[in-house]
Amino acid sequence: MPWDPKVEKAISASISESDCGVDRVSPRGVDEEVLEHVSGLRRYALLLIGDPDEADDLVQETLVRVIAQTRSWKQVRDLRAYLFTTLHNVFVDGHRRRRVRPSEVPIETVIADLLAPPRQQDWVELRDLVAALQLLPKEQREVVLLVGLEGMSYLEAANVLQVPLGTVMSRLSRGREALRRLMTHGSAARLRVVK
Amino acid sequence: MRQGAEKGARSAIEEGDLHAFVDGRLTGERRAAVLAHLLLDRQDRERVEAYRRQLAGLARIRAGLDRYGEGFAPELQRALASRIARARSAQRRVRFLAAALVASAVLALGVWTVREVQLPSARLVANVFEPDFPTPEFPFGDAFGREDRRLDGDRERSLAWFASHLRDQTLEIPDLRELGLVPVGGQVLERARSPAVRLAWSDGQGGIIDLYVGVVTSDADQAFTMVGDSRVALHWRRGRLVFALVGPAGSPQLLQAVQSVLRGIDQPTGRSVPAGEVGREKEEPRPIRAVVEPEAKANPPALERPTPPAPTVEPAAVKPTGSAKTL
Repeated sequence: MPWDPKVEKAISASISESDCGVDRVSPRGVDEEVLEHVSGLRRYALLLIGDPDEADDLVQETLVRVIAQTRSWKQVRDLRAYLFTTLHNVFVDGHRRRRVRPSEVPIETVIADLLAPPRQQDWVELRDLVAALQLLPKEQREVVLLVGLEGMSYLEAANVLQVPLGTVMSRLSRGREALRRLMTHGSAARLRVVK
Repeated sequence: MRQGAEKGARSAIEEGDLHAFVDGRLTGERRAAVLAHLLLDRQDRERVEAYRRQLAGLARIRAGLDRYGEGFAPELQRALASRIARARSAQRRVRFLAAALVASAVLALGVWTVREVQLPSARLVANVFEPDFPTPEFPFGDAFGREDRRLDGDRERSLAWFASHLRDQTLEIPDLRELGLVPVGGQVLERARSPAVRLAWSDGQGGIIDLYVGVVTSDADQAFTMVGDSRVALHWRRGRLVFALVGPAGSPQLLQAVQSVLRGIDQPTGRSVPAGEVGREKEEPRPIRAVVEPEAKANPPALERPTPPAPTVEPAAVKPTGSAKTL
């Protein structure tokens, strides 16, 4: 994983701040909470991008940005929404800058390696689902994952993606329907997936 | 009939309802309506089943990657944890201040009760630690400045002078003995921008709680001010009276003292004493009489107060309330 100088700078700044701050030791509960959030960000990014390395870079850049945003912390009310919103913004910025290259290892294989071996029938369904997700337009994939994978409410998803609630609903509807068609009809349905 | 019923049910169910049903976000009648619709509409039922399978698949992935962040960028995770802890600590401090403000606002609804006030007349000196802090627009001038101030034991005269500025509002001097607070003196605030007095109580453990009372002629800010590290100032306003109660930050009596003080405030009645009665002010029964202890009568304290300015427009209103001591 590339080590960005920004990472080191953010960490050192944070550590020096915490040395003179009131909370020199973070409670264990916060560590667990952070692990939970980072796990969520990482699996969301993995399924969103489909490439483990790219996904980890995205999460890392997100964390660096969040830690470095000193002023914004005063307005943070919902930490999870804040993290996912930042990840979304980093993803959109990065999407503009670079062309996502195809992963060397198919995402279905990555997921299979990560998950405990399911039954054959279940595995086929999971593989089809993961593969179909990668075929969805990015906007639909985001909503389907935020609601279905991360269990966010429609309003939370709308806030994270900074779009109206109605947009989330329509993207969710089209995304799920596209997934259904892809999983039912296989590759023949790919041409019918539209934004 | 059946066709009509099916058509009616379908028209009532929207696409959003189906997804809300799949996501478990429908309850009550709406959920029942969707269930009824799905019983009749096979196409939608198949769609909903497919969406549920999608959700089940995503839930399986989520469960499998529940601790996917473990070991990932540990430095960043530690830095984030530290950041969260500090932010929450700051939020807790803000919430404490907000809660104290709300509490004082609620207490401001207290009703007026009348109590006798036993005032010591012995001249006392209180060393009050009040470091500099930004004073809001407040009528007490630099009364909060860092200095040792001598309290006048004769509060009666101080309060009488103050009373001449109250016009149609009354003020009850609170009896805080139930809180373990003993009055230690009073003082006219000479440098105040408008008529103001300071009263002080001791908690018997070296702590001093000061009550500043002033009369305002224009709007004054109300504020909750931390005074240094260990003292806190609660400010509030009632009618033309402005208050500041200053005491140890951790004092359990502080908010109770606020409550007691607020019980002693009466809202303006609109009454005023005609200007012609100014000269007769001393002849009328004073609404407040500080009880002077016997030894104090024998040895009255020296007063270092300026001559009280004569009211120019309207004198203090008289509002006898039994044995109450009111201003």
